[in-house]
Amino acid sequence: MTADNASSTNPPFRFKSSRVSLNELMLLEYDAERLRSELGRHAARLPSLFRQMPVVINLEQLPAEQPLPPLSDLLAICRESALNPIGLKGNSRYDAELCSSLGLADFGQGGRGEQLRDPEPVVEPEPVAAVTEQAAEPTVKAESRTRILTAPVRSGQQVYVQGGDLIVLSSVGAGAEVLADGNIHIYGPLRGRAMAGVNGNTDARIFCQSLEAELISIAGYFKASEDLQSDHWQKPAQAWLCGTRLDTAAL
Amino acid sequence: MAEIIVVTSGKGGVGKTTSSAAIGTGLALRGHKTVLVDFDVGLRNLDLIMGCERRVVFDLVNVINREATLNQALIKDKRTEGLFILPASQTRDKDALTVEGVESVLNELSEMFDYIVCDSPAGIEKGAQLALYFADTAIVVTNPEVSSVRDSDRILGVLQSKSRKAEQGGSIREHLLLTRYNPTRVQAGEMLSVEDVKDILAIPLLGVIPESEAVLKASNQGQPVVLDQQSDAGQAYLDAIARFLGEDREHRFLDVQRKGLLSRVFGRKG
Repeated sequence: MTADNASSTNPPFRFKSSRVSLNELMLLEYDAERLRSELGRHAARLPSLFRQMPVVINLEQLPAEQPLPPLSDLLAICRESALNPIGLKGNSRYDAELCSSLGLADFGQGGRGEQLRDPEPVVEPEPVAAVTEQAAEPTVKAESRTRILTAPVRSGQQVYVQGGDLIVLSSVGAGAEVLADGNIHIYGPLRGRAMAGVNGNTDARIFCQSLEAELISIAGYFKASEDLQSDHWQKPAQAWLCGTRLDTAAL
Repeated sequence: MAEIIVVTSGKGGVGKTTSSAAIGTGLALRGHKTVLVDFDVGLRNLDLIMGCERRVVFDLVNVINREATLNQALIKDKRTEGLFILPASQTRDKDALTVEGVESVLNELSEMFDYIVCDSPAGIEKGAQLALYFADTAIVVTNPEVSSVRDSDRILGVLQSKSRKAEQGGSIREHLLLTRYNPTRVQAGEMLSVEDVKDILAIPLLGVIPESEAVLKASNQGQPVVLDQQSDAGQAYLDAIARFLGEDREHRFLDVQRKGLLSRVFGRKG
């Protein structure tokens, strides 16, 4: 989150919260030659996709009995196919110091916090499997997956729509959080937090029938309730990003 | 097969135990065989409110640990026919409760009773989660006050995601019970109105129980307030039970009552 620094000198950097879509290379088995040739085939078919694409290598599906592939070899094979491995997920066997010396980030063991129970399951990041025969569409730009919720989002619940818009046909309660890579439309009062464009999409907007939010944010730029006490408070409103400023207007 | 009702709230001190006792007693008065189960291990007070604290020998944890049978632990209410109480343990803590243990006790109770009323502890942690896990119906007790409403909203979220029914793709039937309602303070803008709470929680309203001195009197006497038929709270609970059983009853005690000479001269307001 952005924050104003009250110190005497201006810092040369700023941390900004952002949520980017990353592809995972899910290893199902390890055979150096087979991996090299399969990745090579995928790269040849989709050169634009593989151009230095950052990937997280997911080790969750690797059978425990399988001997551990030498990490530097694994990275070399990925780089030969113009993949840019930036970290590991589901790693329980590689030594932490080794990973750190090879510049690999730890993406943990997978899983998220409490998710909203809904008929349609939460969408996981699209994996680019190491050894499958699928004719893959470029998966970096996922198709728009708009999610529609019809029940109120209760306090303490968190909903994240990856690669699409979120539509809530009810209220978002105080203490609830709704996030989307796209726009957020709430056909009811917004009393909790709404964060649109979490993947960096600065064109995302938030719409609600009564602006009573604890916090709204677009692409990481946020305003808390205190700063939203304008003419649009508790009225139908929309919010969008104007440069680095979050603006609101009546709907 | 019994219907399992959980009386829960999130927030503490809003009237769960008072309401559990009232609802359980009310259902039994209507001829349904009912058992009240206290899930507040370590801080039990259902037995005090029901006036049977001197007859507690075995409790829910004893039954789960097979230290006693259900028949040994169940306490028969002396005033109301068909009403039984299964008290909580006071010396153990919530870790003594397990999902399997609770399931087994509830299954056994299901064959003996028409209604099982589970009095939940406050909070959203293990004790409260176990109380609601097997429920068919939930009565969410809320005071017309911001933090209670916020906590009730939270517990509704927990009901929708952490219950057995939710795991199987179904849902628990939710009812709102607004307690400690004071129309004078609502009119003065000091308290949330029924409409305000309904707007935020968006679940069907079972009843509004007015703030009443009768409640404190009843709990100190160890008598469920519903047996004090002169009191407004007692009557409001009886209305709520009637609505629960499918009857149509108008909500009473929502308006400021003017007493004495003024009401005779100017007529009752509202």
